[in-house]
Amino acid sequence: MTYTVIAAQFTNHYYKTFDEAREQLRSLYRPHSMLTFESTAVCGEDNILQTTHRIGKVVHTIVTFDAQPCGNDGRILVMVTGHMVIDGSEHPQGFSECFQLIPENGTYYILNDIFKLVYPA
Amino acid sequence: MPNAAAPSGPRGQRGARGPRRGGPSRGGISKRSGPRGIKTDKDGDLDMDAPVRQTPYSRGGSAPSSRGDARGGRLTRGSGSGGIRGGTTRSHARGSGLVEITVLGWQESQGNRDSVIDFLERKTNVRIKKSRTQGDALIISVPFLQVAEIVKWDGCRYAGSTLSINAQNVPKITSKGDEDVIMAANPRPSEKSDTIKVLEQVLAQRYNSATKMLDLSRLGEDATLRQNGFFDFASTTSKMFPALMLVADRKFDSAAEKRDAVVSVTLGYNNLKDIKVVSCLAATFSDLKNLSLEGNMIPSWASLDSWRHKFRKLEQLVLSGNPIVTEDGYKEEAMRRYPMLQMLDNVVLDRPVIKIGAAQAIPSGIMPTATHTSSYGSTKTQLPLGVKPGFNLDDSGVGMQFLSSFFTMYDNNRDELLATFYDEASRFSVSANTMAPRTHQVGVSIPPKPWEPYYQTSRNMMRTYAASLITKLFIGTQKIRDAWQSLPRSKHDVSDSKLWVFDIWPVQGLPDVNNPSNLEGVGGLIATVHGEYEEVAEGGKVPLKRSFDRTFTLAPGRGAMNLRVVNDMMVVRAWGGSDAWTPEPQIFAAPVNEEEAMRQAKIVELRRRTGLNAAYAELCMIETGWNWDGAYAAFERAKADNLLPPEAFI
Repeated sequence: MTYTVIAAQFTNHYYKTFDEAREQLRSLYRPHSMLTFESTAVCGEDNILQTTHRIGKVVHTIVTFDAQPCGNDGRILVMVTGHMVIDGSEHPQGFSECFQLIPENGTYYILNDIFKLVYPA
Repeated sequence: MPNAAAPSGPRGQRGARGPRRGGPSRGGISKRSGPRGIKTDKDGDLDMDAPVRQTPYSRGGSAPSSRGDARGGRLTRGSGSGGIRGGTTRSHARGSGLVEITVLGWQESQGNRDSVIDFLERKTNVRIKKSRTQGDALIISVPFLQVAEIVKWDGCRYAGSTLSINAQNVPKITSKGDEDVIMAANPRPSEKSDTIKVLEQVLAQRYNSATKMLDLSRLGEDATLRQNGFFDFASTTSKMFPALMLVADRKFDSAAEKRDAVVSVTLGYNNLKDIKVVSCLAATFSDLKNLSLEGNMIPSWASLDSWRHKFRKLEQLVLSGNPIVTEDGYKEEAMRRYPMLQMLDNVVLDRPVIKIGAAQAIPSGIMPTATHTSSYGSTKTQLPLGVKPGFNLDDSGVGMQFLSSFFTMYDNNRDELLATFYDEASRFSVSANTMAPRTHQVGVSIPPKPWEPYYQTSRNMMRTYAASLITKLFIGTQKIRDAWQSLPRSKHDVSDSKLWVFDIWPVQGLPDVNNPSNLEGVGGLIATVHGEYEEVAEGGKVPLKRSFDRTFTLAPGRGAMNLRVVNDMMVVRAWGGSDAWTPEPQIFAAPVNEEEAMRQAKIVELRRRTGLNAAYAELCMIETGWNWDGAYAAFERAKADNLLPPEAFI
């Protein structure tokens, strides 16, 4: 599989899981994974899951995503923008999120996840 | 405002970091020659003429053999008393930042528990925070970084007995090691205490308390050192400096005291071709603000490599009179290596400092609300999530430095930018987010096909078919140049920090262009930037603004800036203003313990860099008040002093 296919599968899977079964995102992170959510940085599956759980019910809409290979070992950099409706709010919020995916035993995990709200939508 | 309160965030520092004009305020370096007139310190900042502090090896009753005996005795008793060396120390120490030290032998003395604590406090100037007895042992707790001070007194005599002092998880700095350093420098091995006295005298003569400068220039001409035979043998000449540093270090009870007393050091005119002999200066005076190596023979930056990551607070550096000043990219390398540097060779550096991201809360009313009106009409939409400024863990300043030059070059000279930071393996792609809502721009008429200039290059994988995914990833300077030429010319306003937000994170495993056989790769940075630019308009039209997100991965490179762009991914969208990262009253109701989260992140990063285990990384952070630079420097010092036991790395 090329990195573009992996990135596409990842992006679909991540946001679908986030919106429908957020607890299952755990399997995408490792103890040394890092999430930067706005100005907060946390590390490890527990802290990351806790942080994402504080956000209410979310429906993501992906508008762009792009991916580039990065590094020697098959790492992939994925950049996504779109908007999210939180708790049914009438005002969707725009976001920009960047992932570094690391290959591990035939699958991938998220090492860095950098999330930023970018505009009031 | 979380960021304003974080003491170690580089953003927090930036306000205080503007280029200082008109010379240094403290202890500037200027050329001095001839013998130094200052003999004594009158204002008591640093009492170089104080009597030699009694140390284990300067007293008769503690020859190495007797210490050896004492240690043997302790081991026997220690194991007999059961469980002293048990694993409680770590968990106990984790919470408080204290390390437990076992003192044995005091029960055989004429003193008691309180008097032995009093004795140790007096001798070491360390306040003993906690104490308890366990069997024969007195267990005292002291801060991590002060363990060495206490343990140094292992084997000393106290009230008729010999004390055995041993930290449980942190091995002592053996005074034997210190002694070796001093002895190695000693031209007359029979007179070791004299060596210390001579070196102390030299330091006293060369220290100026008014300017807080230690003048170590022309050491070869030093009458005191010459008279005492330090330069009689090649073997002792090179050992003199480490011994001198050791003696200097002993004058201080804390890093803070040292930092206050010695702001500047000059090593001018010492015929140095490299810094091997003097490299320990960095360990002893790690917080120097001003350093001069004037008039030596240093040929290149490579010969200064062992100080590459040292002197993180250096503001002034003088290398005039060394061949290095003619090296290509000399000034840029100085700026790159020393992020706080403000003056090089007595010239103020014109470092492009832009303050990206809001470092302080912006008073309401300053924001031009008319142009920030969202497309939905209200001036400030009530959003479900509060928004916040970025997170930055770029302690070296490399990422900031890159960003501060990148956007100006991107606007003015994209070819130069390519030549500076991009190479044949760099990758660039851009996506147009055409769905983002548009914020009203006063006086701007939006063209009928606003995204046309971007369609040709846009790689948005939501819309692009597989075949063009390959052609729309631009690899190498030539292809990236073509792509950039197809994009509208831009103007980023780098002067207004409110318009920008960025995150910078260290990453590993990037390709190593300097050593392609290094398959593990090198460390670098991920930087994500959010901001806006104007498309340069023709014929007096009001320029159209765009918002953008851009992610870079940066790795060590070969060019003048020694930095290369590995990945450059950009998203362009309709202008949305910067409300999103303007801090607003917190409506994110659930309590987020940001302080704790930041701490956890720092621990993880410190572990990654140092290999320390979690407990030791946390100790190190606690000891240094969660100051990032401080913790790393403390680690390096502790490592250099051999203070860290093997289990700290498990």
